[in-house]
Amino acid sequence: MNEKLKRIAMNDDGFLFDPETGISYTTNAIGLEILRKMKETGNLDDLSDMLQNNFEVTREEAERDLIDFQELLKSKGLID
Amino acid sequence: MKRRNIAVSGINSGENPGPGMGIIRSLKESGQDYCCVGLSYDAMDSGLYLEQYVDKAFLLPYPSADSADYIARLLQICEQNDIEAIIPALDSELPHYVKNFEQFQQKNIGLNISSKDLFESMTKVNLPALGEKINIKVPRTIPVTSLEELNLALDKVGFPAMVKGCFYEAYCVHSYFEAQSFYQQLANKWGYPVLVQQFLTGNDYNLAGLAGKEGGCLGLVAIKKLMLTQMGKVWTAVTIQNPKMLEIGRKFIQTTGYRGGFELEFRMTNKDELYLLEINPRFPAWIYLGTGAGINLPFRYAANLLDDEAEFSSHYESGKLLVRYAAELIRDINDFKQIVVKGERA
Repeated sequence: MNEKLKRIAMNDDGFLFDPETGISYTTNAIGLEILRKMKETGNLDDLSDMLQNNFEVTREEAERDLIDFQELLKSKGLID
Repeated sequence: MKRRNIAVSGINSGENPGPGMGIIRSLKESGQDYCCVGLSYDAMDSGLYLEQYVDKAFLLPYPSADSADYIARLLQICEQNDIEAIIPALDSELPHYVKNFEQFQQKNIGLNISSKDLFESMTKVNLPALGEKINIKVPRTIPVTSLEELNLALDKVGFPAMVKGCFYEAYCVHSYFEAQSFYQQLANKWGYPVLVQQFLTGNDYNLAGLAGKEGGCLGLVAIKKLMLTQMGKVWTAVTIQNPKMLEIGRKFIQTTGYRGGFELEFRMTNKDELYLLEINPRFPAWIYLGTGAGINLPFRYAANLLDDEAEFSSHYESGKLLVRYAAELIRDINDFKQIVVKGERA
């Protein structure tokens, strides 16, 4: 798993804090759910199922949003 | 334990705050009984009027004044107030302390400070060599003493670039014209050489540390700067646990044999490359944040000098936030008069 993602602290309000660089981020409930799942499993597999089950979105929407979110995380160095 | 008299300088606490008030607050909150004697250069320094922290305060001649006069007044204050230890906190006064170290020792006034040669090795001009020794990158820096050399240096580092005074002040420049204008200004103010430095994009970090009177690391704490004043001073910051910065701090003490408080200034690029920008041979103005996170370096400085019992743990909390604020203090004009006329508030 990406080292930054591994060490990042998350609270229930979607506030994320990297204790090594002091950089903080905010995300919404869906982003938080994705990040928590990624911290558990170390990858993005099965996340579209999880999104479809937990939020009112179609499979296409879930997959598209996941790709966008993945790109955002890459740009922040939170996934490789 | 008996009451200890400690003198602390840099008690100005305005928009360009000195480290003194943070040092004194740290001493007062250590649980030990310290009488804190403030050393000041201006009757308007706010620390002179903060009686809840500064028990007594004295005016000194400016550090740029005659060295003999400066030391004579300082030693007089120390003798009259049974000062057992001094924590100098301003760059401009450090040469006096280094030069007269033996006098302080002879009078049993505790002072933890490095040698003149070591100070010299940490200056901006000599930083690249020191960076190599302690295994940390330093932005490419070229000392220049003429406009011709300035232009050649700018060709080498490219734009934007930093143009820095040899002691203080730095400007980011985007053209030869802009660089030349700041070059003249900095040379007139601080002398030669002026430094041309590679500009790095990234986030700014600081590390405060303390090396004991016999050497060795007595504590380190790292922060990320979040908000600065117009003069570049920390206004808001958060503690972090960055293994690389902490390792550089330890290596700095170990390799150089440093003594006393210090601050390392870093920039981390967007590719997570860490660069050392500057070393300040004294505690920083944000030192109270370290205390708030669990590393009370001013107390450790005093305890180490006076052989008092203290625990020098290296554990502190990340995510502790420092937020400065400006406050007003109402005093009588007679308080000001006393300081101006007598040079002290005893």
